[in-house]
Amino acid sequence: MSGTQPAPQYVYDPGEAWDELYDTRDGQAALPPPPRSPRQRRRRRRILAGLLGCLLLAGGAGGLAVLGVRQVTGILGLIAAGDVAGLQARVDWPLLQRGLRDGLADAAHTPGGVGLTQGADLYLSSLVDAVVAGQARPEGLAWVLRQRSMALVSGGVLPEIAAVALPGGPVLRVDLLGDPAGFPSGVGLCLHLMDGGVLRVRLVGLLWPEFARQCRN
Amino acid sequence: MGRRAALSGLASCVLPLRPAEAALDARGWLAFRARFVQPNGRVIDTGNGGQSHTEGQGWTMLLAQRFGDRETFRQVYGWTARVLRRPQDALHAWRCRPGPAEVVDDLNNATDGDVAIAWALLEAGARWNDPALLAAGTKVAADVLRLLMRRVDGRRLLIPSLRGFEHSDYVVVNLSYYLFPAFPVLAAACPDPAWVEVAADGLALLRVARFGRWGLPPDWLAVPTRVGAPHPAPGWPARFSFDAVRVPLYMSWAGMRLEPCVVDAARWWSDPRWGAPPAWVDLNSGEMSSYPAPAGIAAIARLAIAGASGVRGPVALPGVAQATDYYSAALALLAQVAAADMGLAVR
Repeated sequence: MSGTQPAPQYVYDPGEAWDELYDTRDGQAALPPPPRSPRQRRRRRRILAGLLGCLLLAGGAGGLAVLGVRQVTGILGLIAAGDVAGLQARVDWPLLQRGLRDGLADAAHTPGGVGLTQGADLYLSSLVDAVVAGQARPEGLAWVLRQRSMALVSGGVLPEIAAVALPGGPVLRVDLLGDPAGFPSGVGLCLHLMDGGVLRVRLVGLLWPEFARQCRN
Repeated sequence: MGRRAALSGLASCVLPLRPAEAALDARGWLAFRARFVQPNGRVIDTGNGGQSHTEGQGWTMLLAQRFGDRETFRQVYGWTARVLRRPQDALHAWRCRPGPAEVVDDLNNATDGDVAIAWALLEAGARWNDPALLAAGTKVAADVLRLLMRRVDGRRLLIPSLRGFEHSDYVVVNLSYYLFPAFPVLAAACPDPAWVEVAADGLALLRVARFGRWGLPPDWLAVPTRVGAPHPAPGWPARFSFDAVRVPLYMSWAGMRLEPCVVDAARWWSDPRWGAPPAWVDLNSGEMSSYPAPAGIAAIARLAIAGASGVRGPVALPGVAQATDYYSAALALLAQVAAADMGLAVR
């Protein structure tokens, strides 16, 4: 070694270089991810929603339809069996009556352009009240459904279900066929999933083939 | 909930008893019963050769119930169910031929008779808290709903009977078969929206079924199935007559005393040019009967005139004593009951 100290020099050490690289990458991994812009977030949500929609269309709708048929079968079974207590808990009575009253209000104005006298209006209102009051009783509701859907009387339920549709939202719609020789016949059921994540449906409205405005619940 | 309890619930919640019954004078009922109701419950139409029919049986059941005569109600209903009940449904054959043999040779029904029977059964079941009567009335009402309504050219119609009135290009209806005061009772028992529709469409039909100088409804009306306006039905005289006179009765009874069909009939009946209301008027020619309306029609005329003019005081109605036959007597009694329901005192 000579008498003067040489200036310190950087000596390349390949092992040290790799250590640095690892340290850098480890440090980066420990950092939070860089924030996404709102536009990026919306795009990501749209993609996820699209994927979910495709899944529902491919299989979810069918699954819900099966669920709907099973649940409807359960409700119709209560009706067919005359299980008034069972039916009581599976119907949203206020919603059902509101929808019925709206539909009947249309029917009561069938004379349309003809201005009825006050007495005739009162009479038709009393008739609407009688029908609504009748269907506000479980046995009355069961009666009208049995009357319109003859298979309920004979004990068969599934063969008369004409359609299970998902018009949007959480509503299931089930159409029941009536006796072609009888009149009036046929009725649709509007069902909501019950609250609390329970996979059961509740009857919230009825679809009368003859009314324009109904079951908007 | 059992069937009995359910029917009791029906009785208590939708079929209140009528306070107007206290105003009824039972003398007319007792006279009617003595003249036209046999001990076995058969009601005799003395103006039609002594035949019996569901109109008479149903009306008499209703009257017995309204006058609180449970025993007569039981007899009349018993005969009706035993002799006239159709085996294949809850409706009734319309007629039993005269004579003791109780011959029913035509199982076709008459809708007005079946509606009256259902009405009487349901009111009687509520009045006497009898689930069997309520159940029987519900069955009849259900089959009226199921078998006797049709949709024709956008209208829901009540056809006069199961057979005989539906043609390829028109359907015949009898607007006096629309027993408007009965419909709310039947609708409470059988709560199908079709009752509202058939009543509303019936009222609309009455607005257009106005013919002749007086704008009156005919006994029988043809409703085209596709095109054209309703018109008096071919095959019957185009008259406001013994059938159609019940239109103002039922309309007034149901609280619709100011509807044009009532007001126009009242105007015709009260025209000062004839001393007493005629029995009928031809809607094409204007020809009128040469004889005055019998007591029952006169009672309806006075009721309609009082209602249309807003009279609230006592109304003088001809009674059973002035009636010469069953039909007239029955109409007179029904007018008395209707007046009581309308809050009109009768003298």
